[in-house]
Amino acid sequence: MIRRRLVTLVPTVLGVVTLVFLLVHLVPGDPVDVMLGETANPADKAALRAELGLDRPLAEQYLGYLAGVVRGDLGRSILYRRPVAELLAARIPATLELSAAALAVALILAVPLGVAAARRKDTAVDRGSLVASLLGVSIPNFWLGPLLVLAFSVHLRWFPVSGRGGWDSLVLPAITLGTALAAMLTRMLRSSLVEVLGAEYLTAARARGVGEGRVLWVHALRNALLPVITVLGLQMGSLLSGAVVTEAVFSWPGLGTLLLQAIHGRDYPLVQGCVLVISLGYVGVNLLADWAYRWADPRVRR
Amino acid sequence: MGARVARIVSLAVALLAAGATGCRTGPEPAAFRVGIESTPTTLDPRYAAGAHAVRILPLLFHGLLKADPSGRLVPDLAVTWQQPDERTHVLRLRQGVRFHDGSELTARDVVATYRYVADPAHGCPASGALEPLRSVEAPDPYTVVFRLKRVYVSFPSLLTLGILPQGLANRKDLGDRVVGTGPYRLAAFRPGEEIVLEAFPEHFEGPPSLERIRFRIIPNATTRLLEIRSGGLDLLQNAVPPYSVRFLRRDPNLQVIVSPGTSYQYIGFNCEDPILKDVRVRRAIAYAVDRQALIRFALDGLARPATTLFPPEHWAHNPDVPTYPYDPDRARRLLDEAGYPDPDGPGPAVRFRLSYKTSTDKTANEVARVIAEQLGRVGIGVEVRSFEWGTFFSDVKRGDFQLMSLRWIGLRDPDVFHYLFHSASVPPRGANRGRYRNPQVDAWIDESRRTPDPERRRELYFRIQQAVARDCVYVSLWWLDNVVVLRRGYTGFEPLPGGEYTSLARVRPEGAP
Repeated sequence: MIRRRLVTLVPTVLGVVTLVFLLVHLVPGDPVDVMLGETANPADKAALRAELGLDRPLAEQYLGYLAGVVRGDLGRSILYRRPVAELLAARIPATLELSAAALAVALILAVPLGVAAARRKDTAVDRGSLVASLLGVSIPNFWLGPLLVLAFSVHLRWFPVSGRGGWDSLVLPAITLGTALAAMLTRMLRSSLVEVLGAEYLTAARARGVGEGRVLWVHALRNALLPVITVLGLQMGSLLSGAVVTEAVFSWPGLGTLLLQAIHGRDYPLVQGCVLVISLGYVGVNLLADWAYRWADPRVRR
Repeated sequence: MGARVARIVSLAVALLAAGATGCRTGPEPAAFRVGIESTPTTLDPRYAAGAHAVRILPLLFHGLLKADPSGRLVPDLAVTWQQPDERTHVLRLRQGVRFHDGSELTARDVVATYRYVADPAHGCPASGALEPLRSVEAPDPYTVVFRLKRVYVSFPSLLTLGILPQGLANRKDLGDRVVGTGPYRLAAFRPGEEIVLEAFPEHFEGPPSLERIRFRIIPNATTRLLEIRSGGLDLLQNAVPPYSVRFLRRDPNLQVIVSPGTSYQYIGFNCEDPILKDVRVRRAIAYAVDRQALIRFALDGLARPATTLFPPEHWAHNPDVPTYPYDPDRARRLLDEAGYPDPDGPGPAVRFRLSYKTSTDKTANEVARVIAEQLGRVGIGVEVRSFEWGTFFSDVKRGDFQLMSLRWIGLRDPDVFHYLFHSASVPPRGANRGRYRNPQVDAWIDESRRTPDPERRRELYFRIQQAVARDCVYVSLWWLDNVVVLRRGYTGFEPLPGGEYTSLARVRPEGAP
């Protein structure tokens, strides 16, 4: 199954690269205008367009780009006058760091909350977790972020407002980004655990004298996690798109802010590079989810 | 069960820690921190075009000339500047000026920088403007001679370009190796994150007071406000929304300095539009806009109502142009005369409909909606359409608009009239985006470019401003105020009309010599 996934990776990424290439070239606006400003005379613009290869037919530009990508050459950023790969390399660690921390926040919140809600179904705990999850899913990042900053940075002065410095600068962005995911996972985990807890194999385990803790954390949770892992894999995409907003709010120097700048400046190679990396990340995460699935469910391994 | 929970939690914490190990340690606390809205893409003076780069460059580079606070050009790296004839400029250089790499500035560096920029093959933004340059020579190490192909009165404004050492000026891509003669040198440039400058002790005007300056790129306006409130920034210049100024003034740790600015906001018409080509309709729209109300409510009073491009303190400002004070009755009469009667008076039916294009900027959108409402009161239906900046700007240049609003920032040289209103400057050749064509205005503009006598030029500029106001090519809205928010305890920051950070080199902690 993993091997099959790896094989489908190639056409997926190729499709994304093609689509993005076409889309960015269809959008009105021109990187040459951005670079030279409007004062430039048409001859200079034409010269620059030729130098950047923008005067060649679209198909030729596309094939040239693909050939570069295969060789690992993502081209040069038009705006920054530097290799795209260099710009991406500087930003990827920041986005990975933020996504990993947000995922950790989501798990730290979702697992205890989901388990507590499932075990005490239809009690105040369950309803409380429902309300918390609804809030978590509904609050937009661009509102939650400044709210957290106002409380914890401006008033309490525990964390810096924005930027990427020590571990303390990671806390608020990670909570902002991880909250929605935490809420969704809590609901998923609760419902799947409720279902599993009623299963006969657990009654059998209890009859064999297995302690309630082991029943819950080993026998039940492992099965209950299956749908959660699927959702987690799918939701990593929304984590990446949420990162664009969160990075903007916290001036986090990641791929999201780079992508926004690239789009505004019509920096074709840089937009393509960013989307390529993000889609590779998305595909990679889904591979990981498949792998985790095999760990949780031995039936898949056959 | 407890052990299990502990294991899961510790796993999660380990994951968090693993993510966090990639962090760099914090910046040096001594740095003076300035928040800016977007990242300069390059700090190479030959290629820098965006407003943010242009504002930071004076800290890193000197040019032959510089603009003083009133906008006049005065010698900088030059000690004297002479014009033996109308097509020749001779500049004598200061001696003993050092580059950040330790080498001494000579005329050869100047020649190399200008030759590189003037070559269209290099794609530098200023190459078009340097087209009239015939040659640049260095007859001796401290003399530079520019010869022009024809009389070109605004050539001196091109002599402010930052000078690079000869060895770098010929190189295509400098990356972070920008070496100038300015009071600061570049210590780090992380695009999208920060620019760190450190004092250059051998600066020819003496070392600056602040040891380090850190420009932090913070695109989100709310985040910038929270940063300066929490002590994470020391200076914000024209980077806070108008509504916030009131509460920033109440912060005991901050000083808010408001001064008259030169950024000129206007409504542009498409003069080729079937409805808007009638000057009566354009005038009616100008009369229907209540600028005072807009300034008071949308900008919290932080602007001066404008009548023409250049503000009163500029030498080319014409104080006597036709103006359009708020007068909705007059607007209605003009529209009736133009053949657009209101079908039902104050009722919902409109005389005609127009679209008003704008970017997604929050203040620009608020202003657009208020203007739409004001025009609605005289019976003009306006649909506000906001677009992502690149798309909006591309539409405007193609003439695909009826009404739009934009701002001119840092206008200094009135030769810009050619670029804005000459019939030869319809895009892509210039910024006559309204497709305004007036042969008389063209003739005055052409004459002004050939006229070295400043008094005669001023007279021509006066006439151009009068004609443009009479023909109502733009609705002049306002000149925005400069708003500087500075942490208490620092002194010496002087806002410049173009928003340059030049005076940061003179900022010092209060009480310091």
